[in-house]
Amino acid sequence: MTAREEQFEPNRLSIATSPHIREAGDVKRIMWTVNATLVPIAALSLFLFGWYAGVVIAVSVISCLVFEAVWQRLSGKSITISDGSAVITGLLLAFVLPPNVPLYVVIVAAAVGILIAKQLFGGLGYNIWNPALVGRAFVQIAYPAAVTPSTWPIVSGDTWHRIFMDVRNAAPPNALAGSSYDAVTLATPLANDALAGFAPDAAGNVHLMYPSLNDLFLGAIPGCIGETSALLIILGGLYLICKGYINWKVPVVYLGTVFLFAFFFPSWKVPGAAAFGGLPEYVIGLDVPGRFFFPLYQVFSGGIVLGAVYMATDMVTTPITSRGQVIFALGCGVITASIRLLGHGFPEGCCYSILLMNTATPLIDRYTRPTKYGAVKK
Amino acid sequence: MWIWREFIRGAFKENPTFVLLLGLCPTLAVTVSVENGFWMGVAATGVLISSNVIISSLRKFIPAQIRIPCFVIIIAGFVTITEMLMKAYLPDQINRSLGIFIPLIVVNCIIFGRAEAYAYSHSVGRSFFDGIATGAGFMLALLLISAVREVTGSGTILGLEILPGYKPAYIMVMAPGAFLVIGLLLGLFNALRLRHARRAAVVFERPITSQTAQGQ
Repeated sequence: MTAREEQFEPNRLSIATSPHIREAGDVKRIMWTVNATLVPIAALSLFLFGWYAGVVIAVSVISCLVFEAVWQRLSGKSITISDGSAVITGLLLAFVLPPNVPLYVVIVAAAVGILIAKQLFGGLGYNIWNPALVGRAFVQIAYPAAVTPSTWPIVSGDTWHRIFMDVRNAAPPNALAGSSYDAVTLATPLANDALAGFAPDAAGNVHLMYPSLNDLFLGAIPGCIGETSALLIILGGLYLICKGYINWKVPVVYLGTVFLFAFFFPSWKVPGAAAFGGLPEYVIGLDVPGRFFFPLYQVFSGGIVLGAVYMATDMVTTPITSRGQVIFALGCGVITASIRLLGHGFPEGCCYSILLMNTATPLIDRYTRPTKYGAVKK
Repeated sequence: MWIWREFIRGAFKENPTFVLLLGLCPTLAVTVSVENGFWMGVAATGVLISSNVIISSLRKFIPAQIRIPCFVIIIAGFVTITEMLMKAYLPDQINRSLGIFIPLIVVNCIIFGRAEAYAYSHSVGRSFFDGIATGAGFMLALLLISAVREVTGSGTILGLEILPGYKPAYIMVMAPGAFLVIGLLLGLFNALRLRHARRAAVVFERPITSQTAQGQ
C-alpha cells in the first residue's frame, strides 16, 4: 500500500458534512429526559389526589404504549416504543385529565391521540397536532361530564401551608377553617360559574371561596392531575431549557402574553364579583399589589403553565426557527386569554390554543424561513 | 351484462362519496342516525333517477349553451315533488332532522355530475340504470357512515340500544365526528384499494418471471 493510498484509507480520514461538533443527544435521550422531568409532577399528583391519580397515569402510559406497538406491528413498521415518545404522550395525557376521570375515557383518549393524531399521520415527527392534546380535546367533547375536574386535592390548601409554607395568612376566615375546607367539592378555579367554590360556614351561610395564590402556585388546588403545580412544572422547564431541549422564549412569551392580556382586560367570569378590586381579602396569598393579582391568578390557574412548558415547546408540532416559535407562543397566549376572558363557552383555552397554533405551524414555518447565508435582502 | 358492469362502476368503483368525493355536505350533516341517512339516500336516489331519465330523454332538445339552467329546472322540479312527498308521508321528526338538506338536493353535485357527465350524452335506459347505480353507491355510503356514527355516538342502531353499558361518545354525532368517520373510512378504502392493486400486480408478474423462465 503506497503512502498515498494509505492517506485516503477510509478509516483514517473521516469525511462528513457539517455539523462537526457532536453531542450525545438524540431523540431517545431527549424524550427520556423530558419524561424524567415529568416524574416529580406525577409524584406530587399522587400525593395531592391519591392513588387513583396514579392509576390514571399508569393506564394512560400503558395504553399509549400498547396502541403504538400494536399499530406499528400491524402496519409492518419497526416497533419504536422504547424511544419514550409514547410515554411522554401518556404522561401528558394523564396530566391534562382530571383525577376522578373514568378509566375508559383515558383509554379512548390514548387511542385517539396515538392512533389518529400520531400514527395515521406517519408517526413521530410527522404528526401535525400534539397527540396528548388531541386525545384530551376528543374526550372533552365526547364525554363532557367525565372530563370536568371536580375533586379537591386530599391535602387541602390549609394543610399544605402548614406543612410547607408555615401559613402566611394566620387567620383564615371562618368559611375556610377546619373540616369544612376539606369537605367541599369544587370546580377547577377556572370553571365557568365559579372561579371559586362555595363553602358553607358553621352558621350555614355559603361563602365564595377561592384558592390562594400560594396554593395555585404550589399545586394544592382542584384541577387536572398534572397541571396544578406551577412550581414543579417551572423547575422541570428550567432544566430542559438548561439542557437546550426547549426554547426559553416560548413559555416566557406565552405566559407573558396571558399576563399582559389579563392585566389590561381583567374580568372575572363570576357573577357579582367585580374585577380584581372586589376580591375577598383572603384570596390574596402573596404580597402582590392588587393590580397584579388578577393576571398572576390567570397565569397560574388552569393548564397554561403545563401547556407553555411541555406542549407549546413540542419539537414536532411547533415551528422550527426561534422567531417562528415566538410567533407560535404569542398566538397561543392571545387565543388562550381570549377564550378565557372574552369567551363564554369554555373556562379554559389552553388546549385549543395550542391545537390551533399547531395547525398554523406549517404557515409560520413558511414565513419565518431564515435567509440563506450570504443572501442579500431585496 | 352491461347493467351489472354499470352498477359495479357506479356504486363501487366510482362511489360518489368515497371515490369521487361528491355530495359531502349532506353526507356530513345528516348521517347522525341510520334512519336519517336512509331517507336522505332515498330522496337523493329518487331525484337522481328521475332527473337522469328526463334529462337523457330531452338531451336532443336542450341546447348545449344553456344546459345548466335546464338541468337546474328539471332537478328542482323533482326535488320539490320529493320534498312534498316526504312532508306528507314521513314522520315529522325525520323531516325536521333532514330539514334544509332536502331542498339543497337541487345543488347536490352528485346529481349535477351525473346529468352533465352521463345523462346528457347517453340513452334513456343507460341513464336510468346509471341513476340506480350511483344512487345505490350514495345510499351505501350514507348507511355505512351513519351506522358507524350512530353506534359510536349514541350506542344504538335504528334507535335500538345494542351495547348495554357502552358509554356513547357524544362527539361522534357532532360535526367533528362526521369528519373523523368519513376521513377514516376514506383512508381504509384507499388502503384496501392500494393493497388490491399491489396484489393484482404481483399475480400479473409471476408468470413472466419465474414460471415462464422455468418452462423454457
